[in-house]
Amino acid sequence: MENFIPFMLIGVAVTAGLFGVISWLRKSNIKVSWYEWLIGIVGLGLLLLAVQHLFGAMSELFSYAAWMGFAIIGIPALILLAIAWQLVVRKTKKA
Amino acid sequence: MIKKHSTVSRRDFMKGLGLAGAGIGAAAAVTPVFHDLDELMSSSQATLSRPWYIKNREFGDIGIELDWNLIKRRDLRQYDNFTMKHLPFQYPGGPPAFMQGMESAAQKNSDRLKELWPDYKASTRDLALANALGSVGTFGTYALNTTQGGWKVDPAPTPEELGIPKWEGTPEENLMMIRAAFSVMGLGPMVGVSELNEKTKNFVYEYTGDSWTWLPQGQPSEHIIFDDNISEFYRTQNPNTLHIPSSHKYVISTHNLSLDELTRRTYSPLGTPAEAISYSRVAIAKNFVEEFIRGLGYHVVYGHALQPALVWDFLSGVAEHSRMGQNAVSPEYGGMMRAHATFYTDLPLAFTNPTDAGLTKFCETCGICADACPVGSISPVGTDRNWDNACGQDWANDIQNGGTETMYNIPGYKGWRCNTFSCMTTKAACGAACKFSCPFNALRNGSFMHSIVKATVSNTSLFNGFFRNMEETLKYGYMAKEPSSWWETPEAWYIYGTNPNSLRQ
Repeated sequence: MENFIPFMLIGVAVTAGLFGVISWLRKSNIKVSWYEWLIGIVGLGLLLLAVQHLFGAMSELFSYAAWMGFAIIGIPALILLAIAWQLVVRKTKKA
Repeated sequence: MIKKHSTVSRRDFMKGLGLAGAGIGAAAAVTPVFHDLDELMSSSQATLSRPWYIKNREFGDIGIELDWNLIKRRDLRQYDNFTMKHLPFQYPGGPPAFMQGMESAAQKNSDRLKELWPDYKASTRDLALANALGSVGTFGTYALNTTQGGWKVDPAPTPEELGIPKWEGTPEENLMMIRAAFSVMGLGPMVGVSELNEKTKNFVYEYTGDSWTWLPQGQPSEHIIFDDNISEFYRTQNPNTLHIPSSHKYVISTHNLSLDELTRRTYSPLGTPAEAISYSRVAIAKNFVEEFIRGLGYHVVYGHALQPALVWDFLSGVAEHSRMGQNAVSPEYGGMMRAHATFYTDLPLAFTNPTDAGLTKFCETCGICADACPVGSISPVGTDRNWDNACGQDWANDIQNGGTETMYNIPGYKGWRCNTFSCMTTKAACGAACKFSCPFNALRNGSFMHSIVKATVSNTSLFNGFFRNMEETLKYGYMAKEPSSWWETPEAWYIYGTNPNSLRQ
């Protein structure tokens, strides 16, 4: 329960974000293919793990490990999310 | 309307079954199988809460090869456990070489500290805390008196004296009971039980070493005798003997956990005494255990120096063999389990299985402890498990086989051994850098990574090298803890010095 508030806020943000993205996709009538979903979900999962590692290692009192691990897991997560985003955006532009 | 029946179609059900089958199959490959409820209830899982990835071994299988022809009760009358009566003369090159070795070790330790923290200088408060911990720990008479006999506490009344029946519980209930009771006095969380039988008696020394923790009576060594005709242990002087009842076939193996934040300040003055304080805590706990078991109507003898304590850790699944040789590594707590506490009792207890969490295999590719040792007492990566003496001694010259030397290693197992000669030159001033740099020291309830690493290591050695490198890249262990930083970190001031996440049973 040590990090209850930050993780609750993260949960709210992720839920709201997913809801917003799905609503926007429906509204814009954009069809997202399965591999774009997969890349996005893996990216999001990794980002959440990076955040958990950051808080977890901080609670272990290893701040260097916390930030370094956050970068090691978080950067690939952001890259995957960016790829998924760009795939969808470019497909939309072509259409 | 309340749905009383599932509306899943046959097709969905069959699909689900397929997925579930694959999942169950995968799980079955890595988890122990119980054939019935009796088997489950009598297993250690019923009594110890351990992570799912720790697999049980058969009783007696400790994961390393043993040669029972070589495992005999040891005669350690000339073994010097820091008394310095024999060691300087047994040390290769004699007393001058030993003195030189100590000077060199102190310099190497100081160099390591300077290399890690060039600006660190021990302050008055560092030394004050270190010396206070040291005075109460193994450097003072406190632990000596209570650990090994010295001043005895008032005996607790037995059930007979109180006119009540003695405690009768199943072995499983009794194991749960002692875990609960031990938690009060700072023993655990890991509590294992193994059997003292005709085979395992060979691990108990015939004569104990010359130990400075056996003051103030000044008994340098004891002859350990198993006695079929007694129910309670007793000691004699001249000759020095300890008679243990043969009925004491349940061996309890546990530890007092380290002060994990301070012990990670290795090489500094804080590291060693932070480790030593654990001995005093076990010294108190030992009295508690003796009186508690007496109060139940049973008998117990405490065995601080009666055996290589690690072997009872291995046999009971508390820990596994490691590259360090003289330190066991636990899947949950790594090398953080400090002073051991071994008890021989006639209280019936459920035996706990030895385990396989892949630790010994991990040590093959890790070697961080060997790198951390300032005097090179631990075999580096590249030295495989072997039968050799790591102190440069010849097994053939073992004093108890007609030779002239007391062995400073134990024969009969294929594993790693520590060069205890060079280790002793440090007088532990390195703060046991080996133990406190172990990657398995990772705390529970921290980063998710630790659970993934431990679960993976338990099932495959494929990623061991990668995990070892990540440990260093992330600077886990001692590398990220500037010694004096502890004073500025209130989050690290745990009561009794141990992270509460490590203390839950």
